[in-house]
Amino acid sequence: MTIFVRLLEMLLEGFNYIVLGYFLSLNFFYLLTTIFAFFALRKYARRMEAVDLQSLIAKAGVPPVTLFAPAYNEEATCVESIRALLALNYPEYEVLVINDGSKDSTMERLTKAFDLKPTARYKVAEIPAAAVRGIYRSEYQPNLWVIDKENGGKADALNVGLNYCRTPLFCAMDADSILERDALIRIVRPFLEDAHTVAAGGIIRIVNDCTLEGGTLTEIRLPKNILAKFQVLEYLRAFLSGRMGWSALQATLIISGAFGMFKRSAVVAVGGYAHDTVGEDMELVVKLHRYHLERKLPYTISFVPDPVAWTECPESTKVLGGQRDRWQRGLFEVLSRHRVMLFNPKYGRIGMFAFPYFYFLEMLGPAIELPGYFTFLIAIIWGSISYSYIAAFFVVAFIFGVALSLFSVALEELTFRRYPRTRDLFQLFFLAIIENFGYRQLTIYWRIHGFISALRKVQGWGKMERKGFATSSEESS
Amino acid sequence: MNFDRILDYLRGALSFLKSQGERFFSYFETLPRLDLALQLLILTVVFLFVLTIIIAIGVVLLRAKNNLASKRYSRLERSWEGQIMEILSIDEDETPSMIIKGRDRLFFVQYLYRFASRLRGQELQIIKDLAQPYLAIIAKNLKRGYPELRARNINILATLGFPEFIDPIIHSLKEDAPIVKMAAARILAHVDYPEHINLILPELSHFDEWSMNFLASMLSEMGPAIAPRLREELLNREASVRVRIAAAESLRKIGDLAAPDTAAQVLEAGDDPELSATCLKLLRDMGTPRFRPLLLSLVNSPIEIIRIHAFSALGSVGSKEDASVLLAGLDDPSSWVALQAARALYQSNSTEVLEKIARSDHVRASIAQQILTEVHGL
Repeated sequence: MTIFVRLLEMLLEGFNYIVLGYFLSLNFFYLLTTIFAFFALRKYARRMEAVDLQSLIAKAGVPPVTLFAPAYNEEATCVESIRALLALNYPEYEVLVINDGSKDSTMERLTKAFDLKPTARYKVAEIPAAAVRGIYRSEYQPNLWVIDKENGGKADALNVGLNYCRTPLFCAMDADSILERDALIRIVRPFLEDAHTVAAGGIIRIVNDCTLEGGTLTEIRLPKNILAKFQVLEYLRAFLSGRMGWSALQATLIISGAFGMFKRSAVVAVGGYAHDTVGEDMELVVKLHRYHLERKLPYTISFVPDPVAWTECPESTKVLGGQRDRWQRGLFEVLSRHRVMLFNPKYGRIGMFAFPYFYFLEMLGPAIELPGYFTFLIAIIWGSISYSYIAAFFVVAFIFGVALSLFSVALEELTFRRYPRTRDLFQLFFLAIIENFGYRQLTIYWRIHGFISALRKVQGWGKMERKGFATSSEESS
Repeated sequence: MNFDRILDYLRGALSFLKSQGERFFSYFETLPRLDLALQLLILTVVFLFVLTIIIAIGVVLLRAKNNLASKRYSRLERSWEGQIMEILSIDEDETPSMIIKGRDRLFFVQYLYRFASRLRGQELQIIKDLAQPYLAIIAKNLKRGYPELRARNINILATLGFPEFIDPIIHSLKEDAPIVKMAAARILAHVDYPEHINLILPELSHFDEWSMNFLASMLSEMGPAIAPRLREELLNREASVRVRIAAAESLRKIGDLAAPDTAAQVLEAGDDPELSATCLKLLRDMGTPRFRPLLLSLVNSPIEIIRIHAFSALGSVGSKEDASVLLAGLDDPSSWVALQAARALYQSNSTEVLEKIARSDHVRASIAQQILTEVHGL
């Protein structure tokens, strides 16, 4: 019995050390990326002051671009989103809407709004994808094409887009997102300044409760819904501190599926998007890294912090939970598939640094963190750790989390200042504190749920409910 | 005497700090191991707490500063805009000057720079005249500050002080920072100064990272006068492939009529595939039927990119006689080659062949349909 108790004690102590190690490593990486992000953003802001975007458009010979907008049951927002896409400030681009077998009236609404007519368009690549039912082109917007296809998921829709893409660059996005007018010219800049660039990601911001007019955002404010507010802060942290930091470390592993620009030939060379994962955006980036590193080809994958795609975020715990579950499953599937890169010096800083971070801290993290709360509790009851330690540890974790969140808000204030209302700034401060009491634990729960779903090989995307965008007329009425 | 007293003070301060430091660390040494860890945790809490407060205050102050600056600049801009509009509307031979206070001068020049981008001709000249008294500060700043700022100052001088301030810009071309070098090169690549090509070409190899389109677009801004120098560079096998491609692409953009012969020479020499493809694009845009034999020999190249552009060029300079070759191109394993062959069939007036294929069950019938739709509309 004594041996059993001793063994249990040792196990408990061992697991607590693992939790401590996880906590220290995670926060070390957060701190590191935040510091790198600060310097990178400062440099970027200065660089943008030296760039004349209009001159870049007029003289720089920017390459033509195709915008892929995969749409599945997007009847609420598709027309408004496509109108915004057609009003972008870019000299030569096509919009390719891929209707992924929507069951609602997406296709009918698009046909009516843009006067679509059947047309011919030849495939220039043969990436396997579901059957195409018809190809349409707008009568009065010659750069708008709609491909109607059998349902096959987002990756499948993007692969259809790739098969029909005729430009050297393409931009993958969600049909329900709104790109800012200069977003394309801003995201294409890395491709002009570095000929080895194969992919660049933009920033995603939350559009809930912002006002839209003629495809352009006229009023930017924090959402009214508390869950959406938390997500604004999360996105600031993830993009301005996280992705910017990883990009500065030249180890970008994720480009959001909602907005990224890619070199067509490079994506075709790696076989396009993977159908069998819900993390197809991350999978593509990891595959691009592998392809170039294995062949010792020069390449760059970067994050650009100012081209913005505004997107609607979930406002109910059910939908948000589903989204987080899917993200975690995607992460699990991608990292498991490319496990060969883990601590493999052949893959340079990706294999030795970024991949282990995502593998151990992001993918396995929730499986350590949630049980960690319980083992700490048991350890207190058992009496193996003093209250003072536990209290000090949790206070450190809490204040460090708040400090990182506030630093992201500071980065936003230093650079882009998209939330002009002072009230919103103070709300962000408040959110940085209260998110630690409930919301963070909830996200851990969803992530652990996603982790278990991935182990059980659960498939599917879940459902996103759209409110549609607020327009100024709706606001005034 | 004073110096000795200062030294004494410093020595005293140092010994005080040393004794305090020793006291601080000896306190930790006396603690039991576990307490030391707890103390460290508490210290971390205090440090993080202070840091968090500092960040929060910093953000609020930053917001206040930004708001104040924004209000001040808006007020200044409104006042300047009124004055400038008035000056622009008066028909006078000499532009009146605007007196700007010392600390607002840089901002005033930046404002004029943004204002100037909307103007042309006489109105632009007035803006340049208004900026003139303050441009010397900008020129002086070309040697100071971070590279991005220097690059921006080059752009300002180019818009408001060109060609008066051309010398400092030429000097910037020799800078180490690529962004400054590029800003200077883009300004110097000016249609009125073709002689700058000799300054820019040797620097092109420093722009290895930049996209070819970007470089070619920059060179072509200099117009036809630089064509002989570009043709020379295109033929120069000692030059890097990138520089030669930039030369070929610029010649195409310029529309130099003598360039096709140079391009043909390069193609006959069978150089780098990318270079050959660029020369073929040049033949597509400016070639004549006498290049047909060369193009016919290249449509069977084992390299896809050469076949694509050879078919494209053949469509442009060829005739109905080439229909059988173009038709064979439709069976090429590469769909890009097939697409160009179909387009070439249409361009060489073989529309009826294309229509026949579009109606048939040919494996590439949809390509023919697409080309016909592109031409005839929906």
